[in-house]
Amino acid sequence: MEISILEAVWFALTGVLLGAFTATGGFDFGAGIALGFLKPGRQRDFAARSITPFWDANQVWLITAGGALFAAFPRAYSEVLSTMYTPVMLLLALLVLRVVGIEFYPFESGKKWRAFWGGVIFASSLLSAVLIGVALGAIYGGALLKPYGGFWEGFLRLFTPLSVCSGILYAAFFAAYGAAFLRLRAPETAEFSRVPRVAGISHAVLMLAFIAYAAALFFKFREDSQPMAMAAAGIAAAYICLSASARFARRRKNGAAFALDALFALVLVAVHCASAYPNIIPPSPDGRAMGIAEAASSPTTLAIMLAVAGIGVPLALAYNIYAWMVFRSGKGEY
Amino acid sequence: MDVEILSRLQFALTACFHFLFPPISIGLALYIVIIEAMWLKTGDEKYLAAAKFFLKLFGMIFAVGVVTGIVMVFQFGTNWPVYSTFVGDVFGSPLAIEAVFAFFMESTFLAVALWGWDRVGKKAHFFSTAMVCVGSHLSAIWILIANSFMQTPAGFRLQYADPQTGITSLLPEGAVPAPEQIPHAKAVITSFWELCTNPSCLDRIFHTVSACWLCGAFLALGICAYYIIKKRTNFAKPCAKIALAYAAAAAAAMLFTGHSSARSLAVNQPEKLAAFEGHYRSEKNAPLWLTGIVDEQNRKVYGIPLGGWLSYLAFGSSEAKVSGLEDLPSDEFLLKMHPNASPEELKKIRPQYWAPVSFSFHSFRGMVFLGSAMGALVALGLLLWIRGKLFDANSKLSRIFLYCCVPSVALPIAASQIGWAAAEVGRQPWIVWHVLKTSDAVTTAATAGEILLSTATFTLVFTAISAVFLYAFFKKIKTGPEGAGNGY
Repeated sequence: MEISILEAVWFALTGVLLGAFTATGGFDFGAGIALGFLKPGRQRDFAARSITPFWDANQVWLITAGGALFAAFPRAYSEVLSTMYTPVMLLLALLVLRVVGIEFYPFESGKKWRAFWGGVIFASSLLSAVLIGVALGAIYGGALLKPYGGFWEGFLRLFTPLSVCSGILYAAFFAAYGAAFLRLRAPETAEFSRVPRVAGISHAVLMLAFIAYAAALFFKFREDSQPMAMAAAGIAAAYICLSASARFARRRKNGAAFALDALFALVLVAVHCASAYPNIIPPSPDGRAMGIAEAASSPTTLAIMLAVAGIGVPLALAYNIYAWMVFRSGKGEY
Repeated sequence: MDVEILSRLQFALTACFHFLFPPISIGLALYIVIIEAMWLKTGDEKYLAAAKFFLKLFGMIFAVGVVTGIVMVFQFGTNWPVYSTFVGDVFGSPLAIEAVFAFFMESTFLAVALWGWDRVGKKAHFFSTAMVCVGSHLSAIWILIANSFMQTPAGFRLQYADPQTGITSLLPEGAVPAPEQIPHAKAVITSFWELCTNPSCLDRIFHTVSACWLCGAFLALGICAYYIIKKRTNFAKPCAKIALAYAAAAAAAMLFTGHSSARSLAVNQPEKLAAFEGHYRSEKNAPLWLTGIVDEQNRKVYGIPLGGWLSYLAFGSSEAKVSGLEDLPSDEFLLKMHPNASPEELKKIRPQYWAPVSFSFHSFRGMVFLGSAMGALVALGLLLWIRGKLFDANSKLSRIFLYCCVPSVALPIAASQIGWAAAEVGRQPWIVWHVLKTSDAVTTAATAGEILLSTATFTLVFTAISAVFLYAFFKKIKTGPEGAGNGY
């Protein structure tokens, strides 16, 4: 089926929304992971407190991406969510636990209370990062469009070499990105010297994960020239972001390092989307795929939604920028 | 148990749990705006303390509401993919619009309102609080537009892609696709405006938002009453007055919107009204049952009738004929799905298209009773206020009133739950009224075991959250505004 301009625009826009979640939610999920590597007490309190004014708005990008997928590509929304039933349910339960953790962590100051909720934040952030990565890798790698074979098959189908590498990549990226966020906001005192160290180490892990992911991508797509070309270009761009980020971090240009990590997230999602085109769900080994046009809503709905996005997304960005301006410095009490 | 029942149970569980929180936060948001406006207007520090305190409580309620809401957004896809594919073209946009227009507004400005007291000026703070309130009301409006589409669908046509010929055509208006047609049929939007103004939409928005206001007002009133009883805080008395006035306004709005919702039901979803009233046989001068028991076997209600009241409330005249379940849905409509059925067969088929009558009857009555109890409490409060005895420690009536206010926090929340259950169960067996049946919309991918497992997981998680939430919430109230620091 021919893809209309509106459909292509919506495909790109849905990608942008998913990218926006990765680039924003990435740092608060990541700070949750990094929290696990900080010392209980002031360091962990600092990590939990840092994301408090941000997590909610960040998460809205995920809801919006889900809503956009539902409205613009209902068939893809239904296929992806229903065939990944248990993993999606697990992810939803983890998202709930994570927010509950962030919300209740500061409620009492007892050591046990904070250790428990800190553990909840860490575990739920880490596991949801892995799950998001595995799920995206599975969709991208064409593991989805098979007849459904029940619980274990439904779960195991997700795990291909590419999706496992993708899961590790997302977890490592979120952790490094979150740590970079914390480094940006931590006071430069001896008490918080562990923060830049966690950031440095997690960034090194991210580099390794990225190389493994690139290798898995190569083996997956070596016979298919179109995704391969896209992936190669994207991988090169993503690599430049990462190494530049590391370089800035070494020179203590923490803001620039953080921004480049954000850019890495956008590039990564862009690579997924661009190399999936003209499909919204890439072909499985037996060649079945779901095309963008096949999954799309009617032109009327897409046009209405485009008008909505044209007004709503700039407004949303404006609100976000306002909140970022208000909370731009981490100094002082929230 | 099969996939359909389990998916219904799971959706009921997640929807009910989710729906505990947003009505309170929507109602409380407006209350906080009023309190903060009082602070700006009078400069009185006690209003500032109250605003800070109630915002803290708001933050907790809101957070749980948000995350349980995420579950809902994705559950349409996980458990109801046939539904999602079928109506996505129409139903998806209000959900996406809700996220873009309402959720960003709420989440960003809530951060400023909650954590920005020292970071922004007074007016900017008030603006943020107001935006949280606007955002939460917007989200209510858009989600109710979406839900009302399921009740009274409008602004769409059904499109059918013939699998043999590959030809796509529009089905005639009012068509009900047969089960084997459903995978190849979908609703396509014809008018976004008609979707947003579908017949039941306005009534349901006003009705539900009034319920939210009641939830917020009663929560504030209950907390203030508790502080008055405990002789704590200097804001309890003025804030209780504001809460009482707010509750009175909300209760008045509720009276009108409840009535107009019932009237629109009589026109748009007569089966549902008949189920609410256990009204089996069409008749003039139809009674309204004050209370009673439904005998579904013999199609009778035993109880206390108010003769002619149903006719009067539904159509404005006790002489009006109210159709009963035995004539609903109409023969004409049934013949669409069961062509060539004889009148005798239609009689036998008809009950398949009724909502569970007993449940609808009792939940509807439960909602109305709880509403009446709230009305009585508000009336008592107003009476005391007029006579200048609202907080008179020597007045027995005043003490009774205050003691009643504390547990009454639960009344509007319970009424919302039961009312929502009545609205949704009363829609059955349809997921989209007279278009798509719930049983035809359920997933064909997940197995019963998986749904059972995820339902059990959510039950566990929600139980744990409830426990922690209630502990933290009550502790926060006990600690009071003095301890309203952020905990870090």
